[in-house]
Amino acid sequence: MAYPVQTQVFTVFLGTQEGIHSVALPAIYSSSGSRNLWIDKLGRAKKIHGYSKQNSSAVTTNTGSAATKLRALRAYRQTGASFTRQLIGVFEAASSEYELWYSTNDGAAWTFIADLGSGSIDSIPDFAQVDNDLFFANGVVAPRVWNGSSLATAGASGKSPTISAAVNTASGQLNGSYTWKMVSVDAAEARSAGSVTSNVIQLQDEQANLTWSADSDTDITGYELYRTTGTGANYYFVTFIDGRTTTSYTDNASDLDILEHRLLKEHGDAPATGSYFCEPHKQRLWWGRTNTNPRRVFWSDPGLPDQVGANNYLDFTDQTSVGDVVTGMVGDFEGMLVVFCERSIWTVTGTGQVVSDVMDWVRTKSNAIIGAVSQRSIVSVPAGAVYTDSSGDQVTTSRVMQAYFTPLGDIRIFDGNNDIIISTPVKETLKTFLYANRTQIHATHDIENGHVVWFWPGPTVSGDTADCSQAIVWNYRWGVWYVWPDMPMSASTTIETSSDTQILLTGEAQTTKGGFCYKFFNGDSFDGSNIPARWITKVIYGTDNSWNVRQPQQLMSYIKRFRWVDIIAEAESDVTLTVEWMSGNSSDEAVGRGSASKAIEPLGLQLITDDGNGIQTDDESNITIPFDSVQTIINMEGSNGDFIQDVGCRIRISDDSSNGSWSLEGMTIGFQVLPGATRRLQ
Amino acid sequence: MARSNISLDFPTPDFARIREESGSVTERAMQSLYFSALDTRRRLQRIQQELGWKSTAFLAGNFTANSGTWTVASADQKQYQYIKIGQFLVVNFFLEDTTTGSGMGNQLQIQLPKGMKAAATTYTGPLIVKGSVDTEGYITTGGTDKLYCFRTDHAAWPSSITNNVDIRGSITLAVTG
Repeated sequence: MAYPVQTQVFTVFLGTQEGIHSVALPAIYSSSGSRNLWIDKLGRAKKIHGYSKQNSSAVTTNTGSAATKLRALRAYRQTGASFTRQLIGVFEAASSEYELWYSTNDGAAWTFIADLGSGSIDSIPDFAQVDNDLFFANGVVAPRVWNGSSLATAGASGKSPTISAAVNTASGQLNGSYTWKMVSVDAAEARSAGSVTSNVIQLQDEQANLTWSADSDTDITGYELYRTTGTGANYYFVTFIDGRTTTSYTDNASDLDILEHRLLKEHGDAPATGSYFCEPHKQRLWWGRTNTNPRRVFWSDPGLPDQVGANNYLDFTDQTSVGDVVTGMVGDFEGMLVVFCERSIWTVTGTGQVVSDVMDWVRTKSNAIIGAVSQRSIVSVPAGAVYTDSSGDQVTTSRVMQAYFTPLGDIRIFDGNNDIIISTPVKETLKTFLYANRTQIHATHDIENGHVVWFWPGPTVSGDTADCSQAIVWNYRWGVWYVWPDMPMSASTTIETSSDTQILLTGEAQTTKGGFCYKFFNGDSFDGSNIPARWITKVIYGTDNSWNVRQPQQLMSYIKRFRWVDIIAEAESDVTLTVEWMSGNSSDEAVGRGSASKAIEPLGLQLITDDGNGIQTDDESNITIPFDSVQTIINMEGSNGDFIQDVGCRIRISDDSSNGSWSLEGMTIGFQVLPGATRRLQ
Repeated sequence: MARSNISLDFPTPDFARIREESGSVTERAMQSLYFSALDTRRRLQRIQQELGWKSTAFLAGNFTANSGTWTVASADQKQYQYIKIGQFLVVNFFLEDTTTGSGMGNQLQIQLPKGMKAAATTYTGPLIVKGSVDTEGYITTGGTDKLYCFRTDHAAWPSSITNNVDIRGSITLAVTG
């Protein structure tokens, strides 16, 4: 008796789903092992395009011409009568230089700016643009500022004279510990940057004698004197001292009197040397973390990003966060500054206004149970982003959220108070990330394609390859994930050009290859190397043919003989796919029980004769294949003439070439259920 | 010096919970209300602080004369208080059983509290004189850190009186800081 052939049809190919066992996983997901794919606008699994060099020759260090890697990229756009667009790159050598360069043609040619020294090697820079100034911090050097043509140390120039304070034992109204600052003012009421903070003096019902040197700027007409209260940290206006050459004053103004006066908004102090992060929020630039104060963040004066009051900081510390460090900041998120530590996330709400000597910043530790690994791993994703929860159900976000890579090796989204794991579909892949190099993880939001790419270091623990070498991709339109395991990229960014709203650029992570900037998604190769792409099914158990009466049921209880697979694929050029089939319990890399190579006919390609000449119509029009896709039936017969007889099978469809992209549109598997051969122990 | 701005010193609403349950707009509104209340509370505290009478500690050097020596012992300073609200100052004093030396002039001088200085020369207050002389007088300012006590007739204060010159008075004036 012939056993009837049944079929199982696949019409959609979504992403990788490693968090759900094949028994429960819908067959449209790949259970593991798929790579270098993404989803196109029609919901088809498609081989990704490649990347290509922007600069034909690798950038070598300005001093010593040493090989480099491209540690960081940042787009800079100066606005004015016209736009000035630049790409800032940080190129570092293995042991000597750490250099800033810029490009005016999207990475094709680079111009040297400055070498920040070997001490900065392996440091991850952070950038923030305020007006036309691009600020730079890397946790080692004094923060820098780039204006499109020159680099300077961030901080105010032309500061006001520094006050020297001494105790005046005459009876007075001052009680407590006091410091002063001075602001030089010219006739047009333009204020210079505030002075260095005076020495501290402590007074008990006494007065203070203040002295200073006259401001050397002869346009100055007088000084505004600012002082703390006896127990406070804010600087209030005390009095105006008329005359540039006046160089002394006796202060006996009571605290209660000055509290209603103007607050100093021109502190003049530069951001701390060794600041790691700079982030704009509410018209201020927030400078985060130094090695001395790893959980401290300073806010700048409003509109003066490089002037930071020495007392204007928040510490993100409580009993549970001692030992933690700030790893990133995101400003203006739901009106808040979000401060990521490694093991916690904090929010800062408020306006920064001082009310009755109380600063209106409210610092709150969120419910999140883990923080982020790096500033560059945090990405804002729009409302309506789709992810699958741990049970496989699709969830749509109701508002903008922050997606970030955590030290636990997963990716979460933060809604302002709670964190949710979204990377369950790639959890097995992410388990292999190199924890020791977690600070190198970076992400790029490819808005046009609706996905976020996280580049992360694989398990290799030393040398160049310990830098970021792999990527996982979350397409938030479809809520699916893909694994790109061949991505040695140490930097990524998107830039806008005069003709394109977004170009995705990355930086080479290996000095052995050199300082190259790459353009995504461009060409059919990884900078000349093949793109090994493949789709692997989950364990396919077959379904019964009862879809006209109920949901088809998986036939897990029966041994089947898998006979053929029918694939509908589309290609952009000549592509030969390798189709392999394996028994149900096979690993991703298992040798196939059988395989077949199938060439996909290119679309729109002219038909040719046996001697290679094109075939034309009478009026010399090309004759092409009229179909969007090509159907190829593959007999799943092994080399020994046998078929897979198992409860399930897996199909692996792949190519490893530079021939162009292809996409899977549909697949049908034909199988026979073998009566009497029911389930056996696994 | 490392002194952080302490965000709050007042029981703080749980803004994060408000945000979670009612949204960020409500949170911002609550935050604004909270800081308004805090500001009001602080201002009331300051007014209370300012409106309380403050005593001036005895210091012999606070009491002088334009000629001769005026000696006020610690026990003689029955009261020397002030209230200062901004530039507004009220001083109230009662000095009993004070002593004068020989050759007294027509001014007894009292140092203003805490190094404060009168904003003008023209403020005036009443002065009551008892003891060896029972008369009236007035207090005035000189745009300096002193109060000047005169008898109404501008006569010299009695000389060489031991523990028997009593003056009491009050004055309201503006100070410079």
